[in-house]
Amino acid sequence: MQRAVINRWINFSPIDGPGNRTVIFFQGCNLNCSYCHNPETIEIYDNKSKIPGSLYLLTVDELIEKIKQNFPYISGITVSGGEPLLQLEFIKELFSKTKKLGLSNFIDTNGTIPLTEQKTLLDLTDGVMIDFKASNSADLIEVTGSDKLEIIKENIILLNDVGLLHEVRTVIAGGLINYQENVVEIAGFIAEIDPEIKFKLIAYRNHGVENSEGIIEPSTEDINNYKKLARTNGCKNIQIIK
Amino acid sequence: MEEALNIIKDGTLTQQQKIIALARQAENQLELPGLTDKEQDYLNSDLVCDLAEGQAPYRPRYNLVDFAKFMEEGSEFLRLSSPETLAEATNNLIILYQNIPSVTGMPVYIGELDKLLEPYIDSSSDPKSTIRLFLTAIDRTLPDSFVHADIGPEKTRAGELILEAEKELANSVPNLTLKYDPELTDKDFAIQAVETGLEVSKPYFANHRDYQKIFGDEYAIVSCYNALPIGGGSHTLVRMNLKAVVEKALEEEEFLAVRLRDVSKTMLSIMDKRIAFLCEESPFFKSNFLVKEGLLDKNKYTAMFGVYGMAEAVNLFLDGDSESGSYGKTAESQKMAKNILDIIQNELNEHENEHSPFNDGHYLLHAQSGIGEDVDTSPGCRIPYGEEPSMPEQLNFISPIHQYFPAGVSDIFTFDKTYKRNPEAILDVIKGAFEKGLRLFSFYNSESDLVRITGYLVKRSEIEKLNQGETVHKDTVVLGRDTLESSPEENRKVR
Ligand code: SF4
Repeated sequence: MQRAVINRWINFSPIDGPGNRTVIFFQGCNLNCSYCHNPETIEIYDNKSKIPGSLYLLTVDELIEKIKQNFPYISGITVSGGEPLLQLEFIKELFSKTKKLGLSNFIDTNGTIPLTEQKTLLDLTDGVMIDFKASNSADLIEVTGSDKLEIIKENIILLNDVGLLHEVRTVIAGGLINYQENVVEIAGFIAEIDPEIKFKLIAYRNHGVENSEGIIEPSTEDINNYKKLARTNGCKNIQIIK
Repeated sequence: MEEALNIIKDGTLTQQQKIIALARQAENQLELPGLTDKEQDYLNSDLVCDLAEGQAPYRPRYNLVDFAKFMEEGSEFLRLSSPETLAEATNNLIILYQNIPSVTGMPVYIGELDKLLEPYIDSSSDPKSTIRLFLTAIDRTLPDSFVHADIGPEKTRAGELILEAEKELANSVPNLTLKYDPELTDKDFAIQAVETGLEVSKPYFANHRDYQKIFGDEYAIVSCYNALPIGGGSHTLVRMNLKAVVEKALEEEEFLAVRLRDVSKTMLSIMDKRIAFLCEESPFFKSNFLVKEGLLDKNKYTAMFGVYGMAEAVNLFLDGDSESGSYGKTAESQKMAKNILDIIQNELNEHENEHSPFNDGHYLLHAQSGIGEDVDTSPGCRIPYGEEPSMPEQLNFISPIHQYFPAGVSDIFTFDKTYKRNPEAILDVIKGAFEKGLRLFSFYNSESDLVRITGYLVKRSEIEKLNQGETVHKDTVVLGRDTLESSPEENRKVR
């Protein structure tokens, strides 16, 4: 029976997809973003028998048992992390069971796991929130430590094609890269696919970030300017989170 | 007489508040006839409390005027005919409100406002501003947060305008409830109500389908969150302190069930005597124009049997400590609460009152919300502030308990401002809770100036004023301040 390493879960969340949702944070991430808000979720545990006591090692049924008290009050679940798709087989099993219970399934991903071969997963999925952290390889390496630009772009196109793209998100972390350029390019890329795709600009906030040296919280004015930029570059559905 | 002088000299009371307090003072020079020594003892102890209704009841405590009939037929006594325009309709209502008796001197129910006003919306050139004026007049002329209006379940133009206006005005009066049924209430209207709630802490959501089973369509949520039949109401509300009952049983080393039955019977008898005075000695049901004109009907009256302090009662009994314990956290504590309520309900089933024909003479259980002076007891069956488990656990625990209270019960939930981005999330919670049997869901945003005290709204800013010795317009601000000070309302968990 397969088990997943899970960091924690939130019973009710209004900010992880439509309606009220239970969010499960999977342990382990393939990136190392300088502004990561959950750095404790990054470390990957290959040997699942040696995980720290603060984490959970659960089967799908055990996880469901722990969150089923929430089911009457939620639209569905969202898997997040870390990068949840590193534990893809588990998520497929989880989604097939939650789907049967009448819940919707959402994925919150950093976009770097190729989805082209994942028909079974996508058939069980109702929506995906995907990060687009920078628009070119150099900046992507600067922000995340690796270059997965092409995979991210392919994933966005694919998700839009199959009607599962819930939103594309860019964190604005001042001082890190040139966000003028990045917003222009990301917005252009999105608008070319479909101007109605929801583009969420999230202002970086200091709290909870360990390695925050040199990263600056963008001002409201900055964020509003980026929103305008995105609009002039063709996006029609822009949301800013301050 | 000293008390009267104190009222007169009190610089924080308005003129109207003084008059009401002085009248109460005078009434209490009398003594309710026929009380036995035991009944008197219980009233003097912590066990039973008549909530300062007065010693000589001369009007029912809660009156739910049949406003629909008033709109159709007008009133001979008030020399008003059926209105033809929105301005006339709102004007007639404002006049009628001044003539509805209650314990506070102000009506606890002012109508299903959307249904009452909807027929006049189309012919009005500016319905929004008329509704704004109407709601402002209510807030200023009826300065009491127990004044309660209802809307829903169906979406109407009037209902939407009322919500819009309430959100803009941010008044604490009236209290407002949306009768909600996911099948009857349009989603966009429900969402608008949630958005309004996140700004101004109202409306409440009432489980319409569930209340309909008890009352049919003719019911309203009134006062704090009491559910009662329209066209009638409740003669009286007396309440039992469950914590005190457990204390007494432990002290006397007797079975809790025995003491519960004893206090229930005594309280029922006290209620009977209050109602006997009201219906036999006071001429209300013979002389009041509302009765004579059929706007109130004696046959639609019941009485409310209130209980409170359940959490402390259960904690004391199971864990030996009333202040903190397993209530709200374990299945055992839920079972114990149900047992207590079953015993009381049994007493109500066996008791009939000739003057309260509604529900075949059986009084209705009510989870009483507490008053300012209460210390160390939680409202109704609520989990003590700060002791709540996670929201889903709380809902799973409390929803089945709501089922015991036809005449009103509520729980309050606090949401942080991120929910403003996604009001649908709160609707998900409400829908789930109603399916589980929750009867009344109230909520507010943790940053709102309007705070929900046990069952009504006050403004934080007004409490501040009162604390600085200024007079404030609303009587409930004083109550709210006292409640805030004696129960750590601010501890309520934010989600
Ligand atoms: S992708 Fe997300 S979880 Fe992974 S390092 Fe970046 S911010 Fe942290």
